[in-house]
Amino acid sequence: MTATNQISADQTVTDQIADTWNRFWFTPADPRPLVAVRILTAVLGLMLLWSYAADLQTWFGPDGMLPVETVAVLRPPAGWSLYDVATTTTAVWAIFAATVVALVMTGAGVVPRPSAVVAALLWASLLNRGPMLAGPADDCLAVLLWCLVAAAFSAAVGRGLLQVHAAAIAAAAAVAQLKGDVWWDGTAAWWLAARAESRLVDLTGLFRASEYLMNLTTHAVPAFEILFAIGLWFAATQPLVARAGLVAWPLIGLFAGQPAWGFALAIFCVPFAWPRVSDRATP
Amino acid sequence: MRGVVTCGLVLYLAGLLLALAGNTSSGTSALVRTIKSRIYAPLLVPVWLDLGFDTHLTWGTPADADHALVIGREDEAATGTVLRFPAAAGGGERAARWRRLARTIAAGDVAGEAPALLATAAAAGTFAALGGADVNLMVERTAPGARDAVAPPRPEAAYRARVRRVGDDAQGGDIQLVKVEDRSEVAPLARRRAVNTEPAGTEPADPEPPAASEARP
Repeated sequence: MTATNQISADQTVTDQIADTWNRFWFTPADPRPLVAVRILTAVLGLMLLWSYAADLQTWFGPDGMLPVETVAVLRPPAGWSLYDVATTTTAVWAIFAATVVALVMTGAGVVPRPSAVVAALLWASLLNRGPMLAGPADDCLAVLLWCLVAAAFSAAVGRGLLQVHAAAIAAAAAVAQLKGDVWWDGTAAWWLAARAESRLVDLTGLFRASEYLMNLTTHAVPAFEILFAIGLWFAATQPLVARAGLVAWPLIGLFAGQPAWGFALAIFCVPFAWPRVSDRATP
Repeated sequence: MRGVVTCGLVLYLAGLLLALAGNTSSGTSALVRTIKSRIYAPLLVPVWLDLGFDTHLTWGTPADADHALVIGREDEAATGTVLRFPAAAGGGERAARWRRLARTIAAGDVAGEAPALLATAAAAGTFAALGGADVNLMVERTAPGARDAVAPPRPEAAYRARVRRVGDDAQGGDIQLVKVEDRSEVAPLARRRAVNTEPAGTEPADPEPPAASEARP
């Protein structure tokens, strides 16, 4: 191969990477699915806020169970919350109410850019006030809100970030699960179903009756997560795994006693359940 | 403009990779920890994006069992007031948050002293509701029964401590936590004189855990 041919080949590879990058992040995206994501994210946010409301003062009030000075020791040094400076009951409620308003405005698309930024910041602030209370659904909501912030400026970038995070969350969950023996020996489904206090559906009778069903249920969860994380990256399989995710994630969440987490992951699937307008136009 | 957005995206994606690698239950290398904590943590932590997403759902360990926080006055027998968080069995995010708090306190044995601070604060936060400044805190754990088990699972105490205000009440006083160990975990008394030198946390004075019978007000 001559030097000229080598340079030409290098340029081709570089051009291909640049083309792929530009196509992924900068191809104009249909904003309509993102409107659905925005509305569903707001609904999820209000649901999760509701779960805080009844115990807000018990946890974060002036004489609450989680004083700022204790939480400050437990969270990372860079952690900061607007609630840290709320020293009265009224101030705590005021910040909480502002979060509700910001989420409603985000869902309704009222001044979308500022409302999405404020909602994301206030939600992060609430989680940083009590990190030990936060769960996987809360993490997903934070990501969804920041993706909506990006989408308010560029639908394509927002869509791209949703795809990256959806794949990352599914892959990380599969990796975390497969570190435990119970996901290999097929009994994880039993240990989830047998949590008598936190379960939402009781499948212990079915699993007692059939060990194979228990094994199948166990293996199906990480298998789906792996297929989802990979399938989301190929045009041919993306709509398929995304549509499957609309059903499978809520079912997994319901079964695992984490319905909000399942709902959150289903929201990630919405923009990918149907091919892009630009993809359909391309022969 | 595309150049600026591309730079921002590359920087963020690198941060996302570090967050994924640095927030797993398997631990983190010093290299990843250092880069993440010095460069990315100040940016990602305040906006709640320093996330590992390692949702394992269950590993079948005691730590994955249902936990509850039970707090009652030291003289509970006289008052009969006990607070239980969550108040009742059931799913839902509100109950899940209480269970996470209880699980964090119960992890105190492996997670250092910080959870003891949490237990102290949580118990002290109930002084007003319980009408006393001397309470017993227990993390109750209900481990799922095995598939072939006949008897239903029984709750057990995963963590127990007595939390009280000592000193002058009028001036606030200090809050003291005395962890209550199981008798099986306390070293047997080899000699009688050892009684006088035994630390406060291992004294055989072993208050009964509060009964988990009353719902929170």
